[in-house]
Amino acid sequence: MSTVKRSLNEIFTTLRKTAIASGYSHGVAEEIGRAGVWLCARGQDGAGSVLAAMSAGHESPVTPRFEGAAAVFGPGQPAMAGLAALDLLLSGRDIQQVRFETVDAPMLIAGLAGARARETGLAVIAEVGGVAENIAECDFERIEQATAMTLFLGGRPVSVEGDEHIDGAEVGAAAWAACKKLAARTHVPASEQSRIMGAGANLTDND
Amino acid sequence: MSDRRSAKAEVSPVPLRAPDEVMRLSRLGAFYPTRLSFMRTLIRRLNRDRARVSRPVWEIDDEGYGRAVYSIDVDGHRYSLAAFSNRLSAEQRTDRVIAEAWDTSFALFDGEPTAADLDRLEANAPRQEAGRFEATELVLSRANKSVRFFDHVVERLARGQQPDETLVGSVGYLMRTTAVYGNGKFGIADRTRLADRGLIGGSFQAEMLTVWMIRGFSHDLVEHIARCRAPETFVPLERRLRRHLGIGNATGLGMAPFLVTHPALFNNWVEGRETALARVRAAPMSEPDVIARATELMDRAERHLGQWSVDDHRQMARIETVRREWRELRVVATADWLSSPLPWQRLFDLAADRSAECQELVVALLLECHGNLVDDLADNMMIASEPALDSSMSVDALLALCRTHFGWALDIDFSDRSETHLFWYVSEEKLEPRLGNRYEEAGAELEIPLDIGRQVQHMARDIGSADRDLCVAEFLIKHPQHRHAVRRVQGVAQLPYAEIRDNLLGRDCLPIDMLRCKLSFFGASKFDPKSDRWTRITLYQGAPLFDEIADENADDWWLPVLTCRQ
Repeated sequence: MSTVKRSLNEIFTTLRKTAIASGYSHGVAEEIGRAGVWLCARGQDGAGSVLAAMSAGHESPVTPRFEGAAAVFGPGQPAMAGLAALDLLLSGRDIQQVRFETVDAPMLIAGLAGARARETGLAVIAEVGGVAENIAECDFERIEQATAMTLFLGGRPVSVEGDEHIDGAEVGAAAWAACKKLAARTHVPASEQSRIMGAGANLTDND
Repeated sequence: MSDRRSAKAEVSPVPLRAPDEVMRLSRLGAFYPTRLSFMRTLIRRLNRDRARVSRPVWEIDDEGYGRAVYSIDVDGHRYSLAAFSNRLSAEQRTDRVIAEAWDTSFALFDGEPTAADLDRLEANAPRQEAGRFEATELVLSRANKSVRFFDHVVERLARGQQPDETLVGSVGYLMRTTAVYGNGKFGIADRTRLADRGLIGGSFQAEMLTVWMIRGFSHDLVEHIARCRAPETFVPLERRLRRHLGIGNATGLGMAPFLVTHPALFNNWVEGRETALARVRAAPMSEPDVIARATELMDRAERHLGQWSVDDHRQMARIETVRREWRELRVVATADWLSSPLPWQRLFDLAADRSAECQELVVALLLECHGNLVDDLADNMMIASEPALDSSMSVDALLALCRTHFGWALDIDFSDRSETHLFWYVSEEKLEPRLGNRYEEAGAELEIPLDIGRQVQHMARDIGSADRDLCVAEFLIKHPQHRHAVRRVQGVAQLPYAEIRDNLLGRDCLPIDMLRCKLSFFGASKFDPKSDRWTRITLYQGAPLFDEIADENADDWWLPVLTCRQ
């Protein structure tokens, strides 16, 4: 896979805008951007994962089913389901685990979980195919192949190290180009009026 | 929820000014630079470390074109400014972000660049946004000459004369930067690279270091050209004039969104400043040397105000008002008057019925003469982390936070078109942030979310019709569009100075107030608005030169004035 190197800030900004252009609201788009950065910082295809999630759903409320102490999510809308699942898991409201019966974009779910674990300092455990791993140390190949996934909180805190000290990350060139194309839809087309009036400044300064 | 408030885990007998008072645009837009501003913090640190600037590369031709490198060691790391000077036609010269060529371009390099690094930077830095950079580059910038003044200085020095002092005073700089990029833009290093670098890892410190070095380059360049033009008659710039020449900056809307998109950091900036003010106000008495210093600084401030003139009618009227008010204060606040108990609280009170400009100048003065009381607060202003979303909070508690901290927003009638007159957007032209009239211009559907008040009001309305037993997690399942507002409301409960408490969409919103606020934290002075959304400023005017950085008085350049020849 051909890759390009981008700073984490470039990755966050572009993936956030990718989500906004795909119809997600600003707060949700920020979470998607953070998830993408978390994946890229760990050598994973964050841009491709976000794109996969964008094509697998859109922003609308999801309705989990409650089975005892578990919240169960059906297929579709991986970004919304992932965020809702993590919110419930971290809410302290008797939800011990969240299950995705059919997971459409498992890497994005992992990214959302990883970013949230990093933000809160809590250990989020992902169980795939009977193997449970701290999301901060998980086997991404296993996650990538997942058709179902369960998340729960672990007992030990996780190290928050990860993307603090890396110099950018490689992203897939094709996915990046697709994200940039989507992100560009959040920019307002230029017009003579906006060029002259929008910034309130002159166009030449030879004083 | 963990307590992330940083600057005020202390009990002061004088309470901090309330966020509802401080966080209004009219107040923020009257801020002055203080000794806690980032340029001042940087210079103090360089002074303490006895930093030395070297110039390992100077490949500039007789006309002033070519490349140069300046290096400095800070906290055990070497940083180098790579400077490139190119020809620029008059029609290409614009302060706007949409420019595509500049007189000079710069990169702050992590370490000392090799010849290959310099070649790579020489191919990319002049292209700025169109170039591509590596993580060894920490900051990217460019500057245009203040053409007429630059040429005047060259001509005078070449003839063996000093420049016209009136021009030195009225212009104040040889070059204007038009953008200073950091944090990962165009491939340069993310801020995280500097996280463990001490001072340079703090708020805008790498950017401020870059600008200080650009200022030194501008001095060297003008002298170099003059010397090459007439080596027999050339004289160098007189030191006091050189010191008065800062670096100009043209700042537009691009700077404004930062204050909204970095609430935790903004909180720490303002909270540090307000904590400092409270500490000084609480001082029961003052020592004679501090009183003498205060009166000296009041005189300096009066001279500074006298040397600050702008074309903008609104700002000039404010300057004229504060000149008059300052003289009135000065008459009352004599050394004797300040020798009585609670001198600084009384001076603060004396300004209370005067303009916001006057009040904030008093704030800056009080901080300036109490470095021993306030300088430690600068550390807390350097970093911040945004609070985590608390999905366990009840919506009832969330609504209570809305009412406590966003009362100003809940009362706005957003159905009134004047309250939604403006929309902020990013143009496809070099991603320049711009402002539009929602009801006359296209693009409002792509507005960027600086409408915090409106978002919170909409969320509060939906909470009002929700089951109050819900927690935030359950509420967001039904209303995911409020996720951003939830974070903002929860955040401000911990960070009271995080939000500008005004409607940024309203017809009366003046973005220039946001620009001045942010620039005051940089340490900028001589605000020179060119419209309600664009200003010129001067940075590092009066600041120590490269060879003065270790001097004892290196920190004494608050509100610079051009001194007369001795």
